[in-house]
Amino acid sequence: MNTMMIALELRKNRLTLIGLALVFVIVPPLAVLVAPRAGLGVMAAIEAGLVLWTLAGLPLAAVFLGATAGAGLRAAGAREAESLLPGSAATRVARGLAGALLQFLILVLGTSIICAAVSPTWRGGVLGIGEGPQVWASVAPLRGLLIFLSIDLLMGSFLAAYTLSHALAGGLLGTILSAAQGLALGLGIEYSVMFGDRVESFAPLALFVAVVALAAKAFAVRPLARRFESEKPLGRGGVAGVALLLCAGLISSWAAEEGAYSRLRSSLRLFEPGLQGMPLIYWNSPEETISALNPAIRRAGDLATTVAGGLYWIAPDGRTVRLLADASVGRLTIFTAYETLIESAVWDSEGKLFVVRKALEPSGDKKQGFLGEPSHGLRPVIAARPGERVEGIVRKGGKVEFMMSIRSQPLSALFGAHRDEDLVVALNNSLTLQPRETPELAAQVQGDRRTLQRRDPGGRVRTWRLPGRFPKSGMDRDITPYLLAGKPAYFVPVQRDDDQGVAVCREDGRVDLVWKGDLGMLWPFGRLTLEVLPDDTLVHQYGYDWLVVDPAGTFLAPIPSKKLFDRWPRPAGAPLFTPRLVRRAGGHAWVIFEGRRLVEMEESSQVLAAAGRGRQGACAGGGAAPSGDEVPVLHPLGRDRARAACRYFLSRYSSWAGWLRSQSGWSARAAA
Amino acid sequence: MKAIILDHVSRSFDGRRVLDGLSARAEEGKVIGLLGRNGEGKTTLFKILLDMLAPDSGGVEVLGRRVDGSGAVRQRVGYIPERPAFHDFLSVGEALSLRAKVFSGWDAARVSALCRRLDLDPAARIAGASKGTLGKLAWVCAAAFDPSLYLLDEPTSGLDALVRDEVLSGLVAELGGRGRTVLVASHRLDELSGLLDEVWVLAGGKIAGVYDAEKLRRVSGRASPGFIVPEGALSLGSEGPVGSWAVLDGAAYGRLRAAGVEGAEDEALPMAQALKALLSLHGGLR
Repeated sequence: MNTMMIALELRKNRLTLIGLALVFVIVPPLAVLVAPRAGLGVMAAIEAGLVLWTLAGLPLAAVFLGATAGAGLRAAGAREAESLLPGSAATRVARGLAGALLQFLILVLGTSIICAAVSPTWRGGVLGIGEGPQVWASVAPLRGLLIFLSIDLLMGSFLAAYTLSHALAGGLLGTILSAAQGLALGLGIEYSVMFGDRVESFAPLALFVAVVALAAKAFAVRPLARRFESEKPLGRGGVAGVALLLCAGLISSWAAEEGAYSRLRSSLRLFEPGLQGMPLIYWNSPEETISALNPAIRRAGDLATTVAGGLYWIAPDGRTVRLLADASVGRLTIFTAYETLIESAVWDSEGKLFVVRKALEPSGDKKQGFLGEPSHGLRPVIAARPGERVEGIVRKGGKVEFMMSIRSQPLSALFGAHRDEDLVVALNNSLTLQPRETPELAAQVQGDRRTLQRRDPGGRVRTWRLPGRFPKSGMDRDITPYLLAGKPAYFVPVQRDDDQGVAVCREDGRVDLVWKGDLGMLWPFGRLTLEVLPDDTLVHQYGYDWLVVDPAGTFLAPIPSKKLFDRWPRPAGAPLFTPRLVRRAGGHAWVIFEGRRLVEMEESSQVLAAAGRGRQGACAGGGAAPSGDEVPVLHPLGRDRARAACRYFLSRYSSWAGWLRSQSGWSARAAA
Repeated sequence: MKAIILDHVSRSFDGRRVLDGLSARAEEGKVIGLLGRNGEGKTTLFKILLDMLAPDSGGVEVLGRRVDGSGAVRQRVGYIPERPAFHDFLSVGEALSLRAKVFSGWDAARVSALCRRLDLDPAARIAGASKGTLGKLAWVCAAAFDPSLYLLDEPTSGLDALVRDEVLSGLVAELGGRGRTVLVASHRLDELSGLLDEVWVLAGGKIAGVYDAEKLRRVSGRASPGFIVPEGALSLGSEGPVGSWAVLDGAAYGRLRAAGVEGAEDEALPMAQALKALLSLHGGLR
């Protein structure tokens, strides 16, 4: 294809290009006219107009250029003039397509240079450089999507107009096909951007779809040219094949999107007045309610949730059992998923599981209760009275119950006076009760803030003198024990002069100040939650470091995680997902990073030894249970196929459950 | 080598079979007139030979190469379409320059000579150009790279009398003399009298007959009583006792004399009469 032929293609559709350039030229004056009505200054309006031109005008220009070029090729005059030249029919059509693409490139470059020169907003908004608003910063894949869609629109419109021999009809058809495809990709990208902490980036899949879409359209050139230039009938198979090629992008884009339909509906709901301004709440995980503190829970295995409200039980033997299927993917899937749908999951001492799942509706949140033993499945809780419904779970006197309420009545009216150990909190228009965690072996900080005391089941009182004062406020005085070298030990925040840190009170009476640092970070949310690894190692995240106590009760030097963040920097705007240390052995540490990447590194040097990554794999905040020979990683949407995507060897689940079995008396009391 | 080989070529449009198992061979260096009524498929045949149209079935070879959809054959074939078309935003010179880039054997000197000979102004715009100008430009384009085969579809359409004479008695004769193969379809084949080597009759989707142009004769004489027109001869009418017959080959001439034509005199059959006779013979003339 020599330059003369390219010049010919450019000249053939020069009027369309000139017309589009004129449209660009009138954007600033139009923006100035609109500025007063939009309440914008003149320059701001012009800059907004230029951004609008880029985001909407250029894709539309692609449609115009493609459709006119495609239909023009079928026009009798051009066809007669060009069909006598050497070269195949496909070459002629491909040349026409290349000419249209080149015109589009000229338009993009020409107008973009002008926009970049005059508008800081455009530079920041579109190119992501300079001082303008970085609108693409956190959704960079959308910029790629815009480029791909523009090319796809041009190709689709070109081929459709060529096939139909009609620019308008072809442009419309091409736009519909590309827009439907872009919608699926946009939803996928949006989803992965919003849930960047727990789902695999959609960008690689979107890139694959884009390649498929463009390649298929390119492959369609040859049969179409043969059909319309050489007038060779395609036959039914040929027609079906060409249709498949033209729709390959559309099909693959929606096939890549299992939940695309529901996401579409969710997005449409955004435009309903009632939802505007709806706050997006990021809640990391339901770890607190499915905490591993309670030995009964440890014995019962682990629970993992999905963003769509699925609940999985990871049994001690490594099996993963689905207890609840994903909630019917509702109209608000995208947004409700920011809050975990499983609101709480509580085991009772008999191994029964109480679950409350939210089903958010625009009008308010509705909840559903489930009850049962994991090995036998869960059943929904049926309300006893009309209008009654589940509000939450309460632990009363060692028993676990569902709190039921009638929406119009406060809970206090139903339950009478609440117990001291239950917290009363306001929830929407009614009151609800939430239990304080008061396991039998918990110790209490006394009023002098210097003494920790525990009353044993036999009535004996144990006392520890703290190496400083317990903070005045904001800290829970009930201290839950952890096993340290096989014995209960209490981690207590203390302040001493200008010093603050964590003291550990051991069963033999020793008290040591073990971790020094900022209590706000050491003791977030008024309590300390340590990760207990299968070998009884205790882990606490402190900034970029893990504070680790090995199974023998030795406090180790902190293990930094900074290198992981250096190795896999977070994209700008992506939420931080705390890395989770899941295993230590032989001087190596295994970490679930960003909720989806399993990393092995040397503890002393933090040199990465290995890294594995699931296809879609992610664990919904604590969904990875290092039991059995692997780390089962749950897909955030609960799909079984992805569950086994990220497998990695780990040592057998052992010591904690084994110790509990051997110390059944203690564990029984603890479980109670 | 055969310049053209058509082997059982068929082509239909919307269920109507235009070419129906057509087979033919054209020797190199021959000037062949393609004769057929409107709609018989002459243009279709040309487009198939030019690889612009794919046959439904059958094989096509042009200048020793199989026509395969690549369009490469057009590098070696000059074509004058019935209605020449060029991009109307170009000038004559630009149209020629464009072709100069894509035809490998393009001869600029030849182009200049042809333009002078046909009085074609390279500066003229194609938009609004006369049919004659387009016809001349088509001629220049077809001949500029001196192809081995010319396909001429109504090559004098739109040309004025002077140019027509120049084209026919000049260009076509010259091409024939230089050993180029020419396949020409024209409703004015009589204008090509003396130039044609062969006549192909296209009827019923096939080449229904191939005739040596030199052997197409008109015989005049007096028919004896009981005379029956022999096979290969056609009556052209009579003036009193003297009748005229067209004979299409040498054997038919002998049969005619043997059938009892006295005082027979023969002469070259005027092409107009020959065409009518051939079309009538092959059922194309009603």
